[in-house]
Amino acid sequence: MAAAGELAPLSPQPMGSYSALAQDWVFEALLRLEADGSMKPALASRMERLDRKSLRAWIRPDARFSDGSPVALNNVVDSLKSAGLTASEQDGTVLIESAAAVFPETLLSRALIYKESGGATFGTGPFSVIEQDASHLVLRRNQRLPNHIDEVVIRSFATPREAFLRTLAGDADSYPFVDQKQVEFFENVPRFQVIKGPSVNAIAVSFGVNRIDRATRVALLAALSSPELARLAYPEACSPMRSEPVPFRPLPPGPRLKIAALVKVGSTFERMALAVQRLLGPRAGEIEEITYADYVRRLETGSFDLMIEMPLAWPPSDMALLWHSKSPLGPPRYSNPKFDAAIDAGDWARAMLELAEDPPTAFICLPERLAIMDARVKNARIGPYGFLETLPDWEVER
Amino acid sequence: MTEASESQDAFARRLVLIVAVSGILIAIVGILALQILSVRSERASQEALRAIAAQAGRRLAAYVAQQKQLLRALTGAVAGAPDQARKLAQAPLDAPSLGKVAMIDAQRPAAKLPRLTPTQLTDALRGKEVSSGLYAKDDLTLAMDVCVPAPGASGQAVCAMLDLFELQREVQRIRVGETGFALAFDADGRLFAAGAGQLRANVVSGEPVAESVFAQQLHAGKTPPTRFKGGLGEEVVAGWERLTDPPWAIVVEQPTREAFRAARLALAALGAIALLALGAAMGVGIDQSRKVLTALEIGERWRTAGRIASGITHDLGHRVAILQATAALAEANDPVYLPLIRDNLRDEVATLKKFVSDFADLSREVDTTQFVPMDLNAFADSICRVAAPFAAKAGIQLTVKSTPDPLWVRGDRYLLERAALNLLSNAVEASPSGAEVVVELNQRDAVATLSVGDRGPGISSDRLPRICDAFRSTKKTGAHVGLGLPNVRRIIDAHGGSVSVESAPGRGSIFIIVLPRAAEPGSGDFPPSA
Repeated sequence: MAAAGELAPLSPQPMGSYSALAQDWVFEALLRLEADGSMKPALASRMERLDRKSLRAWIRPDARFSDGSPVALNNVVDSLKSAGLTASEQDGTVLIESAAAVFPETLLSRALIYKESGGATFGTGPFSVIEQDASHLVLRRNQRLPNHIDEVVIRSFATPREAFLRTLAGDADSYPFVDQKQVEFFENVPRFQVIKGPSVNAIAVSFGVNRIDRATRVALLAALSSPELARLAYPEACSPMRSEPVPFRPLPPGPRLKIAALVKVGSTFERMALAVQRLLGPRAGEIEEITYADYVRRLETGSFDLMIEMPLAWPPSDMALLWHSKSPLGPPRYSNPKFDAAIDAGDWARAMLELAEDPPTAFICLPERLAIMDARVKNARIGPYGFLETLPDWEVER
Repeated sequence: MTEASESQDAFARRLVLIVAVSGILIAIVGILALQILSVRSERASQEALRAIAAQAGRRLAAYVAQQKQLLRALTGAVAGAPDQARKLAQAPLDAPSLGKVAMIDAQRPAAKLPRLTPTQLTDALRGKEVSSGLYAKDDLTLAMDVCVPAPGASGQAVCAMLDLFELQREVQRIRVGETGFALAFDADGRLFAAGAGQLRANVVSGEPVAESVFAQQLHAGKTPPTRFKGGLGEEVVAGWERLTDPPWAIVVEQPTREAFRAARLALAALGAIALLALGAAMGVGIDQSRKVLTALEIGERWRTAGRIASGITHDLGHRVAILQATAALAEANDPVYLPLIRDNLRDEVATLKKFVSDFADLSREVDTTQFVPMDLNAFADSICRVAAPFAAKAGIQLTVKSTPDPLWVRGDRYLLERAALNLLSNAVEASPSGAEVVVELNQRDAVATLSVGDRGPGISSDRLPRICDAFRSTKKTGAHVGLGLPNVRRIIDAHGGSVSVESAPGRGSIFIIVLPRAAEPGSGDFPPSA
């Protein structure tokens, strides 16, 4: 599998490098998120919700780490604590509580269970790390499974361009994270297939809540709800978001709103920025080309009018939770006591209404995620949450 | 081996030769035909590929022309509008092929269109339409920058990054047969679109492929090859097309294994059919020749049997008639006829004995293992002594002209005597009383000759060639069945020698027996020195 940039040492914590692809193969969480948004037991054999903020989990008795040791409750407790949750052993179970007012079960699908021993980290997933350094990561299946992938080598190249080229030249069997145009290069290349899956991040136009008043944001939300926007930005395909129709409200006069976007020539972000500019007419200001660091800084400081970004949008509970003032999903970027209260009360429908009344963002659509994969893999797919999380289940033609 | 069988063998050889030569001619014509078909097939493939390349070239040129036209139309549409710059910037939303559109002038250079050279930008601001070379964008697809003059605005131009993604896709989708594909090159031979997936890495990297040099040749006005080892390492047949605006080259190629598969199959089938037909024709020809030869042999045997029967009937009939007349004389019981009856019986018995003897000679096979060394000088003396009484009775003088040294040959003494006595007897019978018959011996290189010359009437030239044919006696006495000379030839041939005749009417005849010389017994000197 071709990757770009240095590979960070694999760990169960959130990672910013291509190594993160392997987290789902080496580690398991207590629960697993299914394609329909439901949760299924993974390392946990059973879950019981005690209240909105706490759950009790029973651990699968046969669960073992890749070093052969059984999964002890304290391993689970330690892992959950490192994921920011409050956990403790209680009568042979694990009691889990959220520091936030609300505790969606999806958090448990991201809290990976692990054990550290002798300077190494072990998970309960089907693969283990055999070798790793900044340029490559080798994973091998703990117990061989006929007609399944036994070994994965993630080889990193200096740039995405080189990774793409080397894959195209046949030096890799897979290359994740390609866009619609790059996929065309692999058309009619027999050894590859293109696999697709909906993104969990939506393309969205976020509003600088400190700069734009609520009425204007509501009007902006109405203006940007046009399906024309998605069509202009993504001529190929972009799944519309399921939401209630937003009634039209005229955009009040005011200063031009600058549109910040991570612009690269020809990128969809730029097209989205142009489309927003056209749609907002005289209220639209110039397009600001920003870097990723710029983007992070502006998010933290709220110093933007409009910003094209891709916030988490699936599953729906996570999409809502992202905007909680004490969100466990990231740094706070919006504060709406009514919305927080609705979430804390577990009233998701009311929370969404409150969000629409004081909108921090306008979700436009869910683009497709694409990857290049060896044609011998029969049931490869992307998602539902992680990128290639179902790889251990893929069957391979021999 | 008889003369007839030799003739048949020669005939058979001629037949086989004719059939073989015919077969070779047919094969040569067939091979030539197959070669011509093969060449025509290759030309047809090249023409078809060239037509596809030309069609693809027209589409590519039309695409670029359309994009430029679109840019011109767009420029005209927004000319003078207060938000002209923004409208131009948003143009890619409606025309995805235009990646970035901007108005430029002396104060606002085309910062986003880096591939345009300063000279080109200057030209653009002077109202000239300009295009950059191809380059890869961040998303790895190719683009080129173009500028068109801004209508009604001197010193301004509208420039755009022309996204060639659709054009690349167009080239990628050209398929010829199962594995044929198209490649597109710019003026520098850089591959910018490839139907073959394995070559697309070169599109992105800009590294040349095998065809790059040919594309450059085409731009230099040279004719690129139409059959070569392509970028995939396989021999291909190709059709080229050169575009002038933009200056690109298109090649459509197909592996020869696929391009000529149908033609090769057809040619192979044709060749196989031709070979089968040729084989069948030769088989039938040889079989029919054999049948004809067999029929000829049977006919010849019947004709031979007829000649023998005719000769025997004629001669024995003559003898029977004489014996009947002699019997009639005996029945007359007149002592006067007794001498005549005695002479007749004596003559007829002698004639019949010779008749039987000739047939007996014919039945005696020549066995080379029984050959013995013979000195022809002594041999000639011996046969003359045997023939002397007969010659004396006819009033003929026999003379032997020997060689100074012994003249050794190897042979069946009895049969050679029969042959030599036959010639001597013929010479005596042909000679007038008082004449001389000369037996002369000679040596010449590795052969020895024994000639028998007479002073008889000679043989006319028209009869000489067939003088040794069986049952063709020229004697008028009726006491010869014509087996003598054929028997002489049979015997001498079996000794590895030959018989010839020199004769002219009124000047007598000389029959010459030629035999291979042999070493003197015990000398080991062979071949003998002359």
